[in-house]
Amino acid sequence: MDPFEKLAEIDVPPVPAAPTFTAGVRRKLHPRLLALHVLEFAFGATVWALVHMTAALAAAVRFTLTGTWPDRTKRG
Amino acid sequence: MPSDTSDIASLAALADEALAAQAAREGSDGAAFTTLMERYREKVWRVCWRLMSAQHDAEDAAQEVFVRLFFERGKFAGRSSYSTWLHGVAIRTCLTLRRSRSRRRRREEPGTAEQIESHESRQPETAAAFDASHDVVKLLAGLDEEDRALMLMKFAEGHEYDALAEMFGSTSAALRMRVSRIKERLASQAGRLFGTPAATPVRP
Repeated sequence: MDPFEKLAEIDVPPVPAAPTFTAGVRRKLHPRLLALHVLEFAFGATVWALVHMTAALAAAVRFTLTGTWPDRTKRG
Repeated sequence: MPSDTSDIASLAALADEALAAQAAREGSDGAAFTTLMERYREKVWRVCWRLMSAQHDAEDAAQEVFVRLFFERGKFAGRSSYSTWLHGVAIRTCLTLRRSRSRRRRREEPGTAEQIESHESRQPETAAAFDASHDVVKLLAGLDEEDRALMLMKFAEGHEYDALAEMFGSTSAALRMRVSRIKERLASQAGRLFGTPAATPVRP
């Protein structure tokens, strides 16, 4: 007999009880999920702030150079 | 609440792949993910117990597998069965944990590689009952992490090469060859155990 086949004879202990196990998974999962959401929010907020700040700065530069504010009501 | 119960009952009737797709649509660890976890708890536990060194580490690893599964739940592409794919996730998680733990041990106590090996070799408490299997487990502790995992999944869990190829991201022919080489290497280390001369090739 192949000695490696003997490995299959080693008994695996019973699986931990469902409530304890599931609680353990949630204890690990929830903080990471929260951190991920905070990170996503922070990234989104940073991009939003940068876009708006850049637009304001661009408008200020334009005002300095031309004396007019960009008029968003005009079309075409 | 009754609708929750009927939801769970209807989810339990779904095939793994449909349940995985449902879990991928959930924003959090909802009913589909919980049903998947319940369905695969024992299989994941078996893999983790085989690959990790102790009951506590195995439980920690099994929980970590489901955390990783949660974040990777949208990545299942259906190239293999869900069970095979999940086994792959479990193996990769255990290997990552074992590598990071052995790195940490080395950092904390430099020059204790021998101690780490002896820790590995006493892995299965039940192995003592089987002399030969205990010896094989000791021999496997000397292998690198991935080879050890491959041997355990092949011989302790009895997976076919096709399934192993999916789990290890290789081909079945390459794995056959790898198993054969590992066996030869181990045979040369422990001729006593195998009862064959060191040079005799061992069939995969």
